[in-house]
Amino acid sequence: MSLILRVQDLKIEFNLEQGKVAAVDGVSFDLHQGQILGLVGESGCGKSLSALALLKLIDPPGEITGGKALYYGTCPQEKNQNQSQESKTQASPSENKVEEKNQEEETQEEEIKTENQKTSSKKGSEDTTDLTAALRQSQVQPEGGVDLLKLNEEEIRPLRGSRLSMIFQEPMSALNPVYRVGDQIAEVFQVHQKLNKKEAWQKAVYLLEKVKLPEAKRRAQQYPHELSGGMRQRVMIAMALSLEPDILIADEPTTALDVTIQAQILKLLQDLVQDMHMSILLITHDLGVVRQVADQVAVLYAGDVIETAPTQRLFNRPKHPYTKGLLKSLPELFSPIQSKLNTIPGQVPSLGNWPTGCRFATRCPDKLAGCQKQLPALKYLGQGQSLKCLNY
Amino acid sequence: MGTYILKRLMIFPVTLFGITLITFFVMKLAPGNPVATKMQAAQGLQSEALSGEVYEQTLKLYGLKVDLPKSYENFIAWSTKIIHGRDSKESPPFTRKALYEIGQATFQYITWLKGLAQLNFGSSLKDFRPVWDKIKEALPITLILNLISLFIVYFVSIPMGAYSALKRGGLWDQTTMILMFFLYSLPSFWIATLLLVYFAEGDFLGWFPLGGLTSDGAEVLPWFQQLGDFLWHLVLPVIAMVYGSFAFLSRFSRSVVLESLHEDFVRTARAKGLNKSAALWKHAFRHSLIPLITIMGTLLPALLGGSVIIEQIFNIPGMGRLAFESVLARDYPTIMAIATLSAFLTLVSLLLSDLSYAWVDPRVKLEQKSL
Repeated sequence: MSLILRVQDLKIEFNLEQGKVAAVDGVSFDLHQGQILGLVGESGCGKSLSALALLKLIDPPGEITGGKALYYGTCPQEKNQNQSQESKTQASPSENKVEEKNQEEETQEEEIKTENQKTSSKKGSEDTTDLTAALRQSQVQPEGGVDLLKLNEEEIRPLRGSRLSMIFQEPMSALNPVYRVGDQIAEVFQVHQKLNKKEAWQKAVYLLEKVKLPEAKRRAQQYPHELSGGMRQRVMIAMALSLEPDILIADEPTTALDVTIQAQILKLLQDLVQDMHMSILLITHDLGVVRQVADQVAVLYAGDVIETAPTQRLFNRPKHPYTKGLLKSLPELFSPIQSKLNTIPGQVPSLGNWPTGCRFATRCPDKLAGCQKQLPALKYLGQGQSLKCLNY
Repeated sequence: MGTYILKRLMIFPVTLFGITLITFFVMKLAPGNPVATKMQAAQGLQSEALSGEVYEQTLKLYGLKVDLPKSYENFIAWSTKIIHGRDSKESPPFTRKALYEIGQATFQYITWLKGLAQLNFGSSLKDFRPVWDKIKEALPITLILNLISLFIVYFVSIPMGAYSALKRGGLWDQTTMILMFFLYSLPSFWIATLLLVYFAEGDFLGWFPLGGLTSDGAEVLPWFQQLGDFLWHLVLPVIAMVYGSFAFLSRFSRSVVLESLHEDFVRTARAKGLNKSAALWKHAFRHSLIPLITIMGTLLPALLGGSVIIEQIFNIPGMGRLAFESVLARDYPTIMAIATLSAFLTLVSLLLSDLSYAWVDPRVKLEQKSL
């Protein structure tokens, strides 16, 4: 598995009246190709901010003030070539299976697809040139890869929605209520590949089918408020997947959905990772979701990743006192009914009031003398597990 | 959509009926009547003592005194007796007088409704010209004045508000905020007077005419000069009319745009790869159009009301001045015609704004909306 994104010591600060206040400080994680990385933490710990920072979508007064986000992605041009080869190989067996009527439709769609690919390889060069321009401007880091945080607005814009795309927590407010969902998906193709309206629309319908939205053709004509929560999230996913990105950032994609729909959406995301060999950065506060789908977990506390481990290992052998406390506080199915839920004493320090040293020290049961003097360095424990704690 | 429009159109006459009914009786509650006003003007103060008979006759002639049916007279007598225990005709008790007045007014209202059904607004009690003729002269002037004002208000204040939303907290935003708040709090008659004093043919800057709509002898000029003359006359009245709504709407559009800017879908649009300005124009502004279009329907009635004072001050022979003069003269038919017409225009503009709401916002389904 090759590395696709490496985030190192990300720091985000807010310029407030009382001065600069850090909201994220020290977030580091690695994302590999075809992997789902769960970014877990309580609300306000900087999960979403870290994600938005990768797309440089942090609005003032927020500001990225430090760290690196090295992106080792494929160039859009290479990706297009791979894509067309894949679709050719996929097309032949599927055509044999389907009945005649479907076959006609199918072939029509294939034609459209190949046409689109032609146009995209012709016109899609806009993205490529921008990326290469970014590369030329010595944005390539000594470690290799492009530092996303150093790109300016014009350099990162072609990457947004094409190489790195994002789905949001509340699909109702994340979709524009006054445009049809088909138009909103088609917009991605119009922006990145300069397709005309009709071509883009056909692609949008195709994508809606791909995310298994029933009656995709009719649904594309509808407005967000006419769809259910699960359907809206499928639309968001379709929009994010339209250009087959390397990295999909899913910011609490299932929080606004009920449990059955949540399971469907998670299944869909997992399938897509396998089909498209894409990587997902899954941001959530739901440990159950993480356990179910993530390959690797990074635990955030007060703007810092304090522990990273493969999912099984993290749940079976948590090392950091915070992770331990977090897992202990999960209700167990067979625990006695009267027993109280375990809690971590104290409260998360509010922004601007972070203690020096380890930010968890004030609440930590295993506190050592040196904990509040300086922030513990990241320590690798082996088997993919690393943490920031003086106890190890 | 079709059923909704049909429903609204069916309820239209009912609303209009209610408005005219209330207007009519409120108008009748005002002291005085056209005959008294005229006689006072003609003879001075001793009028009533001198010519009680003439007065009564003229009232009858004007249709302001009608013979009530016998049965109603009996009803008045009966109810007066029940309440006051006596039936004296010399000094009629309060109940008797009130019931008599109500009967008279009702009768007149029914007569007026009959006329309206034939689109006949009657003739003015002031100069006996058909009311419709007077309105035909005045209405276009007021409409032009109002449409120009509405146009200016919308095309200047919305971009202004949007710009201050984009540069929130900047110098432009803060200065306009103070200025607009200041403007909004100033009464229009005062501003109008100041404009006249400082910018019209007076002691200071004589840039604009004092009043009216055309200069003397403008009829002989070629059409474009006539148009220029007309517009020249309109400058001050339009300023006096728009600045209030201007302040209101630019603040309103500022807050609406500001709200849209922070919507999640604007962020989605940028995450899709749209550049900042495309995300703003295509997503944020399109969304903020919804409330802006909808308040257009409520702005027109406000402007119509405002033009009563402005037209009076600038001596513009429009509906506003006609209304003002008719009220002073207790010219009942004209007042009623103007009220009915303004009510009609208001209802139409409200209907249009409701329809436009459904047009700009797909979430609004008019069929399901209860009336």
